[in-house]
Amino acid sequence: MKSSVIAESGKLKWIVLGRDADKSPQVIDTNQYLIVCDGQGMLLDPGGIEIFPRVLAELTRHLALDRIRVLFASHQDPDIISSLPLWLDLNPQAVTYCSWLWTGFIAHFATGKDARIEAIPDYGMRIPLPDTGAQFLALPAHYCHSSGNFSLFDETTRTLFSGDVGAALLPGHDASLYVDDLRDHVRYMEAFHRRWMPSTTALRGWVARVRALEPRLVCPQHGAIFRGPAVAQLFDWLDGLEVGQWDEGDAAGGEKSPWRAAA
Amino acid sequence: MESSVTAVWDGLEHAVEQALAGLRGHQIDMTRLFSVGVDILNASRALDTMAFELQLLAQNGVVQAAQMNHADGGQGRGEGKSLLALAEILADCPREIGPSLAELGEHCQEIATHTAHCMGLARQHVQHLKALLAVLSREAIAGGDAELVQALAATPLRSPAAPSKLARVCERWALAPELGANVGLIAERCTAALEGLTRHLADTAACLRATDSVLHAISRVGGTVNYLGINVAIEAAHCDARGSNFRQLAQDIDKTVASLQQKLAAIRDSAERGRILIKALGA
Repeated sequence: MKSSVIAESGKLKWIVLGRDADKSPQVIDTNQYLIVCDGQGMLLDPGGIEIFPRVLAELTRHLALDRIRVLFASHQDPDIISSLPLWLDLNPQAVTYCSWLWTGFIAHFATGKDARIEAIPDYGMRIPLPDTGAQFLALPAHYCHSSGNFSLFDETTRTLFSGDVGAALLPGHDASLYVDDLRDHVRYMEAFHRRWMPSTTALRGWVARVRALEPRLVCPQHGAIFRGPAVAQLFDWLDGLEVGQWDEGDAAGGEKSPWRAAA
Repeated sequence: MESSVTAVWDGLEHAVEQALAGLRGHQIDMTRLFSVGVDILNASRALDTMAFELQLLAQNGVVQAAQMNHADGGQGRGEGKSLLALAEILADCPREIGPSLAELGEHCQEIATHTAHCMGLARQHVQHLKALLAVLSREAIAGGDAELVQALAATPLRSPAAPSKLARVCERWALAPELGANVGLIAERCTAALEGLTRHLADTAACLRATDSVLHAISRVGGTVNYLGINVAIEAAHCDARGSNFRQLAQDIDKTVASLQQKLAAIRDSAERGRILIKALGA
Protein backbone atom coordinates (compact mmCIF):
# COMPACT_ATOMS: atom_id res chain seq x y z
CA MET A 1 0.00 0.00 0.00
CA LYS A 2 1.20 3.48 -0.86
CA SER A 3 0.56 6.81 0.77
CA SER A 4 0.99 10.37 -0.49
CA VAL A 5 0.31 13.83 0.78
CA ILE A 6 -2.29 15.33 -1.57
CA ALA A 7 -3.01 18.69 0.08
CA GLU A 8 -1.29 20.79 2.70
CA SER A 9 -1.93 24.11 4.35
CA GLY A 10 -0.07 25.13 7.51
CA LYS A 11 -0.44 22.32 10.03
CA LEU A 12 -3.16 20.63 8.01
CA LYS A 13 -2.36 17.72 5.70
CA TRP A 14 -4.46 15.37 3.59
CA ILE A 15 -2.88 11.96 2.95
CA VAL A 16 -4.25 9.26 0.67
CA LEU A 17 -3.54 5.61 1.47
CA GLY A 18 -4.29 3.19 -1.34
CA ARG A 19 -3.09 1.43 -4.48
CA ASP A 20 -2.60 -1.76 -2.49
CA ALA A 21 -0.74 -4.19 -4.74
CA ASP A 22 -0.82 -6.94 -2.10
CA LYS A 23 -4.56 -7.10 -1.56
CA SER A 24 -6.62 -10.09 -2.65
CA PRO A 25 -8.02 -9.66 -6.19
CA GLN A 26 -11.46 -10.40 -4.72
CA VAL A 27 -11.31 -7.19 -2.69
CA ILE A 28 -12.29 -3.97 -4.47
CA ASP A 29 -9.52 -1.39 -4.45
CA THR A 30 -10.21 1.49 -2.04
CA ASN A 31 -8.67 4.83 -1.12
CA GLN A 32 -8.44 5.72 2.53
CA TYR A 33 -7.85 9.36 3.47
CA LEU A 34 -6.14 10.64 6.57
CA ILE A 35 -6.39 14.25 7.66
CA VAL A 36 -3.63 15.25 10.06
CA CYS A 37 -3.76 18.57 11.86
CA ASP A 38 -1.41 19.54 14.65
CA GLY A 39 -0.60 15.90 15.40
CA GLN A 40 -4.27 14.81 15.59
CA GLY A 41 -5.84 12.57 12.99
CA MET A 42 -9.13 11.96 11.25
CA LEU A 43 -9.56 8.88 9.10
CA LEU A 44 -12.11 8.99 6.27
CA ASP A 45 -13.71 5.70 5.20
CA PRO A 46 -11.13 3.54 7.06
CA GLY A 47 -11.91 0.50 4.88
CA GLY A 48 -12.69 -3.16 5.39
CA ILE A 49 -11.30 -5.77 7.78
CA GLU A 50 -9.33 -7.42 4.98
CA ILE A 51 -7.17 -4.38 4.17
CA PHE A 52 -6.90 -3.12 7.76
CA PRO A 53 -3.36 -4.48 8.42
CA ARG A 54 -1.89 -2.71 5.40
CA VAL A 55 -3.75 0.56 6.03
CA LEU A 56 -2.56 0.49 9.63
CA ALA A 57 1.02 -0.34 8.63
CA GLU A 58 1.08 2.58 6.17
CA LEU A 59 -0.58 4.91 8.64
CA THR A 60 2.20 4.33 11.18
CA ARG A 61 4.40 6.55 8.98
CA HIS A 62 2.18 9.59 9.38
CA LEU A 63 0.58 9.73 12.80
CA ALA A 64 0.83 8.43 16.35
CA LEU A 65 -1.90 5.79 16.46
CA ASP A 66 -3.32 7.01 19.75
CA ARG A 67 -3.93 10.35 18.01
CA ILE A 68 -6.61 9.00 15.65
CA ARG A 69 -9.39 11.06 17.14
CA VAL A 70 -12.14 10.87 14.53
CA LEU A 71 -13.37 8.21 12.14
CA PHE A 72 -15.72 9.30 9.39
CA ALA A 73 -17.88 6.82 7.47
CA SER A 74 -19.49 8.23 4.32
CA HIS A 75 -22.00 5.36 4.53
CA GLN A 76 -22.42 1.86 5.91
CA ASP A 77 -20.87 -0.48 3.35
CA PRO A 78 -18.29 -3.10 4.45
CA ASP A 79 -15.53 -1.66 2.27
CA ILE A 80 -16.10 1.65 4.07
CA ILE A 81 -16.20 0.80 7.74
CA SER A 82 -16.15 -2.93 8.60
CA SER A 83 -12.68 -2.43 10.12
CA LEU A 84 -14.22 -0.13 12.76
CA PRO A 85 -13.79 -2.50 15.77
CA LEU A 86 -10.10 -2.94 14.94
CA TRP A 87 -9.52 0.83 14.88
CA LEU A 88 -11.47 1.23 18.10
CA ASP A 89 -9.32 -1.47 19.65
CA LEU A 90 -6.28 0.70 18.92
CA ASN A 91 -7.96 3.84 20.14
CA PRO A 92 -11.19 3.30 22.09
CA GLN A 93 -11.62 7.05 22.58
CA ALA A 94 -11.99 7.77 18.86
CA VAL A 95 -15.38 9.17 17.83
CA THR A 96 -17.07 7.75 14.74
CA TYR A 97 -19.35 9.96 12.65
CA CYS A 98 -21.88 8.56 10.21
CA SER A 99 -25.40 9.24 8.99
CA TRP A 100 -28.06 8.85 11.69
CA LEU A 101 -29.56 6.25 9.36
CA TRP A 102 -26.66 3.86 9.94
CA THR A 103 -25.52 4.29 13.55
CA GLY A 104 -27.47 1.24 14.70
CA PHE A 105 -26.29 -0.72 11.69
CA ILE A 106 -22.55 -0.14 11.91
CA ALA A 107 -22.71 -1.05 15.60
CA HIS A 108 -23.25 -4.57 14.23
CA PHE A 109 -19.56 -4.59 13.26
CA ALA A 110 -18.95 -5.60 16.90
CA THR A 111 -17.93 -2.17 18.14
CA GLY A 112 -18.73 -2.93 21.79
CA LYS A 113 -20.97 -1.03 24.15
CA ASP A 114 -18.52 1.80 24.81
CA ALA A 115 -18.08 2.82 21.17
CA ARG A 116 -18.80 6.50 20.57
CA ILE A 117 -20.83 6.71 17.37
CA GLU A 118 -22.16 10.17 16.55
CA ALA A 119 -25.13 10.53 14.23
CA ILE A 120 -24.90 13.10 11.45
CA PRO A 121 -28.32 14.66 10.79
CA ASP A 122 -29.64 14.60 7.22
CA TYR A 123 -28.76 18.25 6.56
CA GLY A 124 -25.13 17.69 7.63
CA MET A 125 -22.90 19.22 10.30
CA ARG A 126 -19.44 20.54 11.06
CA ILE A 127 -17.22 17.80 12.44
CA PRO A 128 -14.47 19.03 14.77
CA LEU A 129 -11.02 17.50 15.02
CA PRO A 130 -10.46 17.78 18.79
CA ASP A 131 -7.69 19.99 20.18
CA THR A 132 -6.93 21.54 16.79
CA GLY A 133 -9.70 24.06 16.14
CA ALA A 134 -10.11 22.45 12.69
CA GLN A 135 -13.59 21.61 11.48
CA PHE A 136 -14.81 19.80 8.41
CA LEU A 137 -18.13 20.06 6.68
CA ALA A 138 -20.22 16.88 6.38
CA LEU A 139 -22.17 17.54 3.22
CA PRO A 140 -25.37 15.64 2.31
CA ALA A 141 -24.85 13.08 -0.46
CA HIS A 142 -27.96 11.00 0.14
CA TYR A 143 -28.70 8.43 -2.58
CA CYS A 144 -25.14 8.95 -3.92
CA HIS A 145 -25.19 6.02 -3.54
CA SER A 146 -26.43 5.05 -0.09
CA SER A 147 -29.72 6.41 1.27
CA GLY A 148 -27.79 7.98 4.16
CA ASN A 149 -24.55 9.29 2.63
CA PHE A 150 -22.17 12.17 3.32
CA SER A 151 -19.23 13.82 1.59
CA LEU A 152 -16.68 15.76 3.60
CA PHE A 153 -15.31 19.18 2.67
CA ASP A 154 -12.26 20.95 4.06
CA GLU A 155 -12.61 24.70 3.60
CA THR A 156 -8.91 25.34 4.32
CA THR A 157 -7.43 23.27 1.51
CA ARG A 158 -10.72 23.16 -0.49
CA THR A 159 -10.45 19.38 -0.64
CA LEU A 160 -13.63 17.36 -1.07
CA PHE A 161 -13.88 13.72 -0.06
CA SER A 162 -16.65 12.54 -2.36
CA GLY A 163 -17.12 8.93 -1.27
CA ASP A 164 -18.47 6.89 -4.18
CA VAL A 165 -19.15 9.91 -6.42
CA GLY A 166 -16.38 10.10 -9.00
CA ALA A 167 -15.33 6.54 -8.17
CA ALA A 168 -13.63 4.52 -10.89
CA LEU A 169 -12.75 0.86 -11.22
CA LEU A 170 -9.18 1.14 -12.48
CA PRO A 171 -7.48 -1.77 -14.23
CA GLY A 172 -4.27 -1.84 -12.16
CA HIS A 173 -2.49 -0.64 -9.05
CA ASP A 174 -0.01 1.37 -11.07
CA ALA A 175 -2.65 3.73 -12.49
CA SER A 176 -2.03 7.43 -11.98
CA LEU A 177 -3.16 8.81 -8.65
CA TYR A 178 -4.64 11.88 -10.34
CA VAL A 179 -7.05 12.58 -13.17
CA ASP A 180 -5.92 15.59 -15.13
CA ASP A 181 -8.16 15.09 -18.13
CA LEU A 182 -11.50 13.40 -17.78
CA ARG A 183 -11.85 12.09 -21.33
CA ASP A 184 -9.63 9.03 -20.82
CA HIS A 185 -11.03 8.35 -17.39
CA VAL A 186 -14.78 8.23 -18.12
CA ARG A 187 -14.63 4.63 -19.32
CA TYR A 188 -13.60 3.53 -15.79
CA MET A 189 -16.40 5.50 -14.14
CA GLU A 190 -19.45 5.28 -16.34
CA ALA A 191 -20.73 1.76 -15.63
CA PHE A 192 -20.05 2.21 -11.91
CA HIS A 193 -22.12 5.39 -11.71
CA ARG A 194 -24.99 4.17 -13.88
CA ARG A 195 -25.45 1.11 -11.69
CA TRP A 196 -24.40 2.18 -8.18
CA MET A 197 -25.98 5.63 -8.16
CA PRO A 198 -29.73 5.14 -7.84
CA SER A 199 -31.02 8.68 -8.45
CA THR A 200 -30.23 11.23 -11.18
CA THR A 201 -32.08 13.91 -9.17
CA ALA A 202 -29.99 13.19 -6.06
CA LEU A 203 -26.76 13.19 -8.06
CA ARG A 204 -27.55 16.57 -9.71
CA GLY A 205 -28.46 18.01 -6.32
CA TRP A 206 -25.08 16.87 -4.98
CA VAL A 207 -23.26 18.43 -7.96
CA ALA A 208 -25.05 21.77 -7.35
CA ARG A 209 -24.05 21.71 -3.67
CA VAL A 210 -20.39 20.90 -4.24
CA ARG A 211 -19.97 23.26 -7.21
CA ALA A 212 -20.93 26.11 -4.89
CA LEU A 213 -18.07 25.12 -2.59
CA GLU A 214 -15.49 25.36 -5.41
CA PRO A 215 -13.27 22.44 -4.42
CA ARG A 216 -9.72 22.19 -5.76
CA LEU A 217 -9.49 18.44 -5.31
CA VAL A 218 -12.23 15.81 -5.47
CA CYS A 219 -11.17 12.60 -3.74
CA PRO A 220 -13.30 9.51 -4.33
CA GLN A 221 -13.12 6.30 -2.32
CA HIS A 222 -12.25 4.23 -5.42
CA GLY A 223 -10.06 5.25 -8.34
CA ALA A 224 -8.19 8.50 -8.93
CA ILE A 225 -8.27 12.02 -7.51
CA PHE A 226 -9.63 14.87 -9.67
CA ARG A 227 -7.62 18.07 -9.80
CA GLY A 228 -7.30 21.15 -11.97
CA PRO A 229 -9.68 21.26 -14.93
CA ALA A 230 -10.76 17.65 -14.26
CA VAL A 231 -12.83 18.87 -11.28
CA ALA A 232 -15.16 21.02 -13.40
CA GLN A 233 -15.15 18.36 -16.12
CA LEU A 234 -16.29 15.79 -13.55
CA PHE A 235 -19.17 17.99 -12.40
CA ASP A 236 -20.25 18.64 -16.00
CA TRP A 237 -20.11 14.96 -16.79
CA LEU A 238 -22.12 14.04 -13.70
CA ASP A 239 -24.71 16.71 -14.56
CA GLY A 240 -25.35 15.10 -17.92
CA LEU A 241 -25.45 11.52 -16.65
CA GLU A 242 -28.62 9.45 -16.26
CA VAL A 243 -28.08 7.00 -13.42
CA GLY A 244 -30.12 4.28 -11.70
CA GLN A 245 -30.19 2.50 -15.02
CA TRP A 246 -30.58 -1.19 -15.60
CA ASP A 247 -32.00 -2.42 -18.82
CA GLU A 248 -32.55 -6.13 -18.67
CA GLY A 249 -32.33 -6.37 -22.44
CA ASP A 250 -28.81 -4.96 -22.35
CA ALA A 251 -27.65 -7.13 -19.51
CA ALA A 252 -25.40 -10.02 -20.42
CA GLY A 253 -27.36 -13.21 -20.00
CA GLY A 254 -30.65 -11.30 -19.74
CA GLU A 255 -32.28 -13.80 -22.06
CA LYS A 256 -31.50 -16.54 -19.55
CA SER A 257 -33.19 -14.83 -16.58
CA PRO A 258 -34.86 -17.53 -14.49
CA TRP A 259 -37.96 -15.36 -14.11
CA ARG A 260 -38.50 -15.45 -17.88
CA ALA A 261 -38.70 -19.22 -17.78
CA ALA A 262 -40.97 -19.06 -14.75
CA ALA A 263 -43.28 -16.33 -16.13
CA MET B 1 22.54 -5.33 0.82
CA GLU B 2 18.91 -4.60 0.16
CA SER B 3 18.60 -7.52 -2.27
CA SER B 4 19.94 -9.97 0.32
CA VAL B 5 17.41 -8.68 2.84
CA THR B 6 14.67 -9.05 0.27
CA ALA B 7 15.74 -12.65 -0.33
CA VAL B 8 15.67 -13.38 3.40
CA TRP B 9 12.35 -11.60 3.66
CA ASP B 10 10.89 -13.85 0.96
CA GLY B 11 11.75 -16.79 3.20
CA LEU B 12 10.26 -15.02 6.17
CA GLU B 13 7.10 -14.22 4.24
CA HIS B 14 6.64 -17.95 3.72
CA ALA B 15 7.14 -18.58 7.45
CA VAL B 16 4.71 -15.77 8.27
CA GLU B 17 2.13 -17.14 5.84
CA GLN B 18 2.42 -20.53 7.53
CA ALA B 19 2.06 -18.98 10.98
CA LEU B 20 -0.96 -16.96 9.85
CA ALA B 21 -2.47 -20.08 8.29
CA GLY B 22 -2.02 -21.69 11.73
CA LEU B 23 -3.79 -18.74 13.32
CA ARG B 24 -6.61 -19.01 10.80
CA GLY B 25 -6.84 -22.70 11.71
CA HIS B 26 -7.19 -21.60 15.30
CA GLN B 27 -10.02 -19.28 14.32
CA ILE B 28 -11.80 -22.27 12.80
CA ASP B 29 -11.21 -24.24 16.02
CA MET B 30 -12.74 -21.33 17.98
CA THR B 31 -15.85 -21.58 15.83
CA ARG B 32 -15.93 -25.33 16.49
CA LEU B 33 -15.64 -24.63 20.20
CA PHE B 34 -18.59 -22.26 19.93
CA SER B 35 -20.56 -25.04 18.26
CA VAL B 36 -19.68 -27.38 21.15
CA GLY B 37 -21.58 -24.99 23.44
CA VAL B 38 -24.51 -25.00 21.02
CA ASP B 39 -24.49 -28.83 20.86
CA ILE B 40 -24.57 -29.06 24.65
CA LEU B 41 -27.37 -26.49 24.82
CA ASN B 42 -29.45 -28.42 22.27
CA ALA B 43 -28.89 -31.68 24.14
CA SER B 44 -29.85 -30.04 27.44
CA ARG B 45 -33.08 -28.78 25.82
CA ALA B 46 -33.81 -32.37 24.77
CA LEU B 47 -33.16 -33.44 28.37
CA ASP B 48 -35.66 -30.83 29.53
CA THR B 49 -38.30 -32.39 27.26
CA MET B 50 -37.46 -35.85 28.61
CA ALA B 51 -37.76 -34.65 32.21
CA PHE B 52 -41.20 -33.29 31.31
CA GLU B 53 -42.18 -36.64 29.73
CA LEU B 54 -41.02 -38.50 32.85
CA GLN B 55 -43.05 -36.13 34.97
CA LEU B 56 -46.19 -36.81 32.89
CA LEU B 57 -45.63 -40.56 33.04
CA ALA B 58 -45.15 -40.48 36.82
CA GLN B 59 -48.19 -38.26 37.38
CA ASN B 60 -50.24 -40.58 35.24
CA GLY B 61 -48.97 -43.44 37.44
CA VAL B 62 -49.96 -41.53 40.59
CA VAL B 63 -53.51 -41.08 39.30
CA GLN B 64 -53.84 -44.74 38.31
CA ALA B 65 -52.34 -45.98 41.56
CA ALA B 66 -54.68 -43.72 43.52
CA GLN B 67 -57.65 -45.16 41.61
CA MET B 68 -56.43 -48.71 42.35
CA ASN B 69 -55.94 -47.82 45.99
CA HIS B 70 -59.45 -46.38 46.09
CA ALA B 71 -60.82 -49.57 44.50
CA ASP B 72 -59.04 -51.54 47.23
CA GLY B 73 -61.25 -49.72 49.73
CA GLY B 74 -59.12 -46.69 50.28
CA GLN B 75 -57.54 -48.30 53.28
CA GLY B 76 -54.04 -48.12 51.91
CA ARG B 77 -53.77 -51.87 51.62
CA GLY B 78 -52.53 -54.20 48.85
CA GLU B 79 -50.72 -53.46 45.55
CA GLY B 80 -52.40 -50.07 45.17
CA LYS B 81 -50.62 -48.78 48.24
CA SER B 82 -47.08 -49.67 47.15
CA LEU B 83 -47.65 -48.56 43.54
CA LEU B 84 -49.03 -45.25 44.80
CA ALA B 85 -45.96 -44.72 46.99
CA LEU B 86 -43.61 -45.60 44.10
CA ALA B 87 -45.46 -43.35 41.66
CA GLU B 88 -45.38 -40.45 44.12
CA ILE B 89 -41.61 -40.77 44.57
CA LEU B 90 -41.24 -41.09 40.79
CA ALA B 91 -43.26 -37.91 40.25
CA ASP B 92 -40.82 -35.99 42.43
CA CYS B 93 -37.68 -37.20 40.64
CA PRO B 94 -37.91 -35.25 37.34
CA ARG B 95 -38.29 -32.04 39.34
CA GLU B 96 -34.82 -32.68 40.76
CA ILE B 97 -33.40 -32.51 37.21
CA GLY B 98 -34.79 -28.99 36.71
CA PRO B 99 -32.11 -27.02 38.64
CA SER B 100 -29.34 -29.10 37.08
CA LEU B 101 -30.68 -28.36 33.60
CA ALA B 102 -30.90 -24.67 34.45
CA GLU B 103 -27.27 -24.77 35.59
CA LEU B 104 -26.28 -26.60 32.41
CA GLY B 105 -28.03 -23.89 30.35
CA GLU B 106 -26.06 -21.20 32.22
CA HIS B 107 -22.78 -23.01 31.51
CA CYS B 108 -23.73 -23.23 27.82
CA GLN B 109 -24.44 -19.51 27.73
CA GLU B 110 -21.08 -18.82 29.34
CA ILE B 111 -19.33 -21.10 26.84
CA ALA B 112 -21.06 -19.25 23.98
CA THR B 113 -20.07 -15.86 25.43
CA HIS B 114 -16.45 -16.84 26.03
CA THR B 115 -16.01 -18.49 22.64
CA ALA B 116 -17.66 -15.54 20.86
CA HIS B 117 -15.14 -13.26 22.60
CA CYS B 118 -12.38 -15.68 21.54
CA MET B 119 -13.44 -15.44 17.90
CA GLY B 120 -13.37 -11.64 18.02
CA LEU B 121 -10.01 -11.57 19.80
CA ALA B 122 -8.49 -14.08 17.39
CA ARG B 123 -9.53 -11.91 14.44
CA GLN B 124 -8.18 -8.82 16.18
CA HIS B 125 -4.90 -10.55 16.98
CA VAL B 126 -4.39 -11.80 13.42
CA GLN B 127 -5.15 -8.42 11.82
CA HIS B 128 -2.93 -6.47 14.22
CA LEU B 129 -0.14 -9.01 13.89
CA LYS B 130 -0.33 -8.72 10.11
CA ALA B 131 -0.02 -4.93 10.44
CA LEU B 132 2.98 -5.33 12.75
CA LEU B 133 4.68 -7.68 10.31
CA ALA B 134 3.95 -5.32 7.42
CA VAL B 135 5.63 -2.45 9.28
CA LEU B 136 8.60 -4.61 10.26
CA SER B 137 9.07 -5.95 6.74
CA ARG B 138 9.00 -2.43 5.34
CA GLU B 139 11.54 -1.18 7.89
CA ALA B 140 13.74 -4.27 7.61
CA ILE B 141 13.99 -3.87 3.85
CA ALA B 142 14.50 -0.11 4.11
CA GLY B 143 17.15 -0.58 6.81
CA GLY B 144 18.83 -3.45 4.98
CA ASP B 145 19.11 -5.59 8.09
CA ALA B 146 19.18 -9.26 7.03
CA GLU B 147 20.12 -10.44 10.51
CA LEU B 148 17.04 -8.86 12.02
CA VAL B 149 14.81 -10.32 9.36
CA GLN B 150 16.22 -13.74 10.27
CA ALA B 151 15.52 -13.02 13.94
CA LEU B 152 11.95 -12.20 13.00
CA ALA B 153 11.66 -15.42 11.05
CA ALA B 154 12.70 -17.35 14.14
CA THR B 155 10.01 -15.75 16.33
CA PRO B 156 7.08 -18.09 16.99
CA LEU B 157 4.06 -15.94 16.15
CA ARG B 158 1.54 -17.87 18.21
CA SER B 159 3.35 -17.25 21.46
CA PRO B 160 1.89 -14.45 23.63
CA ALA B 161 5.42 -13.08 23.91
CA ALA B 162 5.85 -12.86 20.13
CA PRO B 163 4.47 -9.36 19.52
CA SER B 164 6.61 -7.75 22.21
CA LYS B 165 9.62 -9.73 20.93
CA LEU B 166 8.94 -8.36 17.47
CA ALA B 167 8.67 -4.85 18.87
CA ARG B 168 11.96 -5.30 20.77
CA VAL B 169 13.64 -6.39 17.55
CA CYS B 170 12.65 -2.98 16.20
CA GLU B 171 14.48 -1.23 19.00
CA ARG B 172 17.75 -2.03 17.23
CA TRP B 173 16.62 0.09 14.34
CA ALA B 174 16.82 3.82 14.58
CA LEU B 175 13.10 4.28 14.06
CA ALA B 176 11.54 7.71 14.32
CA PRO B 177 10.16 8.04 17.87
CA GLU B 178 6.55 8.21 16.67
CA LEU B 179 6.94 5.13 14.48
CA GLY B 180 8.65 3.27 17.35
CA ALA B 181 5.72 4.18 19.63
CA ASN B 182 3.25 3.00 16.98
CA VAL B 183 5.03 -0.34 16.66
CA GLY B 184 4.97 -0.64 20.46
CA LEU B 185 1.24 0.12 20.57
CA ILE B 186 0.35 -2.44 17.90
CA ALA B 187 2.52 -5.03 19.67
CA GLU B 188 0.79 -4.21 22.95
CA ARG B 189 -2.65 -4.70 21.38
CA CYS B 190 -1.56 -8.03 19.85
CA THR B 191 -0.34 -9.22 23.24
CA ALA B 192 -3.51 -7.99 24.96
CA ALA B 193 -5.64 -9.87 22.42
CA LEU B 194 -3.67 -13.08 23.00
CA GLU B 195 -3.87 -12.69 26.77
CA GLY B 196 -7.63 -12.10 26.53
CA LEU B 197 -7.92 -15.14 24.31
CA THR B 198 -6.03 -17.31 26.79
CA ARG B 199 -8.21 -16.04 29.65
CA HIS B 200 -11.47 -16.73 27.80
CA LEU B 201 -10.26 -20.20 26.79
CA ALA B 202 -9.42 -20.95 30.43
CA ASP B 203 -12.93 -19.80 31.42
CA THR B 204 -14.41 -22.01 28.70
CA ALA B 205 -12.42 -24.96 30.05
CA ALA B 206 -13.75 -24.23 33.55
CA CYS B 207 -17.33 -24.20 32.21
CA LEU B 208 -16.76 -27.54 30.50
CA ARG B 209 -15.41 -28.97 33.77
CA ALA B 210 -18.47 -27.62 35.60
CA THR B 211 -20.78 -29.44 33.19
CA ASP B 212 -19.27 -32.73 34.47
CA SER B 213 -20.74 -32.36 37.95
CA VAL B 214 -24.10 -31.29 36.50
CA LEU B 215 -24.15 -34.34 34.21
CA HIS B 216 -23.29 -36.54 37.17
CA ALA B 217 -26.25 -35.13 39.13
CA ILE B 218 -28.66 -35.67 36.22
CA SER B 219 -27.31 -39.16 35.64
CA ARG B 220 -27.86 -40.00 39.32
CA VAL B 221 -31.51 -38.87 39.07
CA GLY B 222 -31.84 -40.95 35.88
CA GLY B 223 -30.49 -43.95 37.79
CA THR B 224 -33.02 -43.43 40.59
CA VAL B 225 -35.87 -43.14 38.07
CA ASN B 226 -34.67 -46.30 36.41
CA TYR B 227 -34.56 -48.13 39.75
CA LEU B 228 -38.08 -46.93 40.61
CA GLY B 229 -39.29 -48.01 37.18
CA ILE B 230 -37.94 -51.54 37.83
CA ASN B 231 -39.79 -51.59 41.16
CA VAL B 232 -42.98 -50.47 39.44
CA ALA B 233 -42.55 -53.36 37.00
CA ILE B 234 -42.01 -55.83 39.88
CA GLU B 235 -45.07 -54.55 41.74
CA ALA B 236 -47.11 -54.58 38.55
CA ALA B 237 -46.15 -58.24 38.01
CA HIS B 238 -47.82 -59.05 41.35
CA CYS B 239 -51.04 -57.45 40.21
CA ASP B 240 -53.74 -59.05 38.17
CA ALA B 241 -54.96 -57.49 34.92
CA ARG B 242 -55.07 -54.14 36.69
CA GLY B 243 -51.26 -54.17 36.60
CA SER B 244 -51.01 -53.99 32.80
CA ASN B 245 -51.06 -50.17 32.80
CA PHE B 246 -48.16 -50.13 35.26
CA ARG B 247 -46.18 -52.61 33.19
CA GLN B 248 -46.61 -50.24 30.25
CA LEU B 249 -45.62 -47.34 32.51
CA ALA B 250 -42.45 -49.17 33.57
CA GLN B 251 -41.56 -49.82 29.90
CA ASP B 252 -42.12 -46.17 28.99
CA ILE B 253 -39.95 -45.04 31.90
CA ASP B 254 -37.24 -47.48 30.84
CA LYS B 255 -37.26 -46.10 27.29
CA THR B 256 -37.18 -42.46 28.41
CA VAL B 257 -34.34 -43.11 30.87
CA ALA B 258 -32.38 -44.88 28.11
CA SER B 259 -32.84 -41.82 25.85
CA LEU B 260 -31.83 -39.58 28.72
CA GLN B 261 -28.61 -41.54 29.27
CA GLN B 262 -27.90 -41.33 25.52
CA LYS B 263 -28.26 -37.55 25.61
CA LEU B 264 -25.99 -37.38 28.65
CA ALA B 265 -23.40 -39.43 26.78
CA ALA B 266 -23.72 -37.04 23.81
CA ILE B 267 -23.12 -34.05 26.09
CA ARG B 268 -20.08 -35.78 27.62
CA ASP B 269 -18.75 -36.39 24.10
CA SER B 270 -19.29 -32.72 23.18
CA ALA B 271 -17.56 -31.57 26.35
CA GLU B 272 -14.64 -33.88 25.62
CA ARG B 273 -14.47 -32.50 22.07
CA GLY B 274 -14.35 -29.04 23.60
CA ARG B 275 -11.51 -30.03 25.93
CA ILE B 276 -9.50 -31.44 23.01
CA LEU B 277 -10.06 -28.21 21.04
CA ILE B 278 -8.96 -26.08 23.98
CA LYS B 279 -5.82 -28.19 24.33
CA ALA B 280 -5.14 -27.78 20.60
CA LEU B 281 -5.64 -24.03 20.99
CA GLY B 282 -2.86 -24.09 23.51
CA ALA B 283 -4.75 -22.87 26.59
